[in-house]
Amino acid sequence: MAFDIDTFAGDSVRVGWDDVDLDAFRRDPLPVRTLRTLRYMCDVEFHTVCYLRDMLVTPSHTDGDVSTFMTIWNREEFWHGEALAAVLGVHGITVEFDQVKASRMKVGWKDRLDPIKQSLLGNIVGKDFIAVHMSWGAANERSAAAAYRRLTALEPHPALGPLLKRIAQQEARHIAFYTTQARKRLEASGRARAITRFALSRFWGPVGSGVMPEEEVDHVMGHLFSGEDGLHEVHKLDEQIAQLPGLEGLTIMRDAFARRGLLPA
Amino acid sequence: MSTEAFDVLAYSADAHGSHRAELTGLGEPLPAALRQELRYLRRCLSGTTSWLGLVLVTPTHKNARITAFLSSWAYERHWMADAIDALTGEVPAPAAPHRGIRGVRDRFAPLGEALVANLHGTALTGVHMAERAVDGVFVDALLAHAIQQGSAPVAADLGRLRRVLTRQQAFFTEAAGELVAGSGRARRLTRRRLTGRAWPIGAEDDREGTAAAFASLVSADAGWARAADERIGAVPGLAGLDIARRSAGNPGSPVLRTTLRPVAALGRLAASVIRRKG
Repeated sequence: MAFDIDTFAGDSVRVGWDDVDLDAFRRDPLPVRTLRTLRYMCDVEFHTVCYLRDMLVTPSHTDGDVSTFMTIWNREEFWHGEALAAVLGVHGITVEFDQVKASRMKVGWKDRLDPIKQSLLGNIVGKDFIAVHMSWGAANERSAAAAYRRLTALEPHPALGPLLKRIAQQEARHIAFYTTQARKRLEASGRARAITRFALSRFWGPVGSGVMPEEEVDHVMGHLFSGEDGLHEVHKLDEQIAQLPGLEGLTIMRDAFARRGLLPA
Repeated sequence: MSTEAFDVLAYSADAHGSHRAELTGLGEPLPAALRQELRYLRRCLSGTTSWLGLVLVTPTHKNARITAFLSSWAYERHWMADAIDALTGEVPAPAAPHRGIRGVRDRFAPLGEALVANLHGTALTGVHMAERAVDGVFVDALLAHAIQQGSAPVAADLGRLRRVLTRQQAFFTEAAGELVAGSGRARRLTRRRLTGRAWPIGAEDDREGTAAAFASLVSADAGWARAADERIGAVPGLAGLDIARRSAGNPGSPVLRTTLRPVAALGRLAASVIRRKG
């Protein structure tokens, strides 16, 4: 199905939660484990601007559709972070600009080197590098949407479910863009297929890894994707990624979980 | 001490999206001069993501308040450009990438900026905010002039775009003033950078269009550049740069031209490294 960037941009709204009964969290607070996962998700949503930066230093931003998408996507993700921050705020967990800045400061040298690395790779590889970004984005957005779905299933709180569902619906639109772009670019170039396969199989990790503390990544992945249903979701995500041209047989999610010791023996 | 009077969250919450449903000037005939000026304004509003790419590779991206603002600012700019497309009935062709030395420079600009950012640190954030504050003064002058030329429905639409810009300017002016005036290093760097480039941002890519835009501003108001410089000079730390008057005198060229600029840049780089090691 073709993705219409003008329709996507025109339909974009910030995710709303004015009608969500936040007082329900005061009467029936979320457990600590769930709050820890929500905090991770909130930080990662706010971190989108750093992913945006890594794309803007490559040829990706010179494509009109990609540039429009990034503009809209970045704003939608910011509001996902704000929505989750509102839920955390009711529980006494403050996520304001200063806290977000502090978490970005913690990333240190990796954060300084990433744009340099991306820019060098983008310039060496050229236009085919856009396929890597689009495929990487598809994997990230699929796993983010799956994470929201899993949290909704695991935490049937009457106020949390509707909010997570709204966020997941916007993530689905992002998946559609990334997947359409990735498919088109991978179909068009054998070099793009080879480079993308190499990059995803060697370097892809769960969303938030590399910027969030390792123990937090392990907590969230273990919380959301353990058990039979969680593993089924992991398997399903791998199947979806492997449907992209040139990525047949890849099991990036399963491999990432195995590296973290999160798969049953 | 931080003043931070601008409410970023409130701004982000009601950032202006598509203007199309509100446009009253759709299909209105546009005088040739206005059409040309709107084309130039459209070009000014494009290139947002390229500029963001240069900014986000620096420590500016650590500042969550600024990046929150920029997320909605980029969104508003997208829709301002779309409104102009709707009024002119034109869909601008994507800019072809530059070739040769210019193309190489464009491709490696973010890489260079990322490397330089490690020397300048947060002083660059003042530069970025001041760049947008100054650029906004030019865009505002062009919008004000375009409003005078258009029919009432078109003028109403452009007036709406100008109000969106005015709110954005409030943030950039406040942030620039605070960051530039608060640090001698940021002030020196900002003044050097602002006078080392052409105005408005991207003018060097369209010298002819820039010259025509300045000429139309002069024909309507010989004192526009002085007024623009007064607005720029009112930002703490930016007094006396005469950016608009100098730009008008040499459209599409850096405000201050010196053949020694590369040598001076190398000297500053060496001095900065020595200071750090010391």
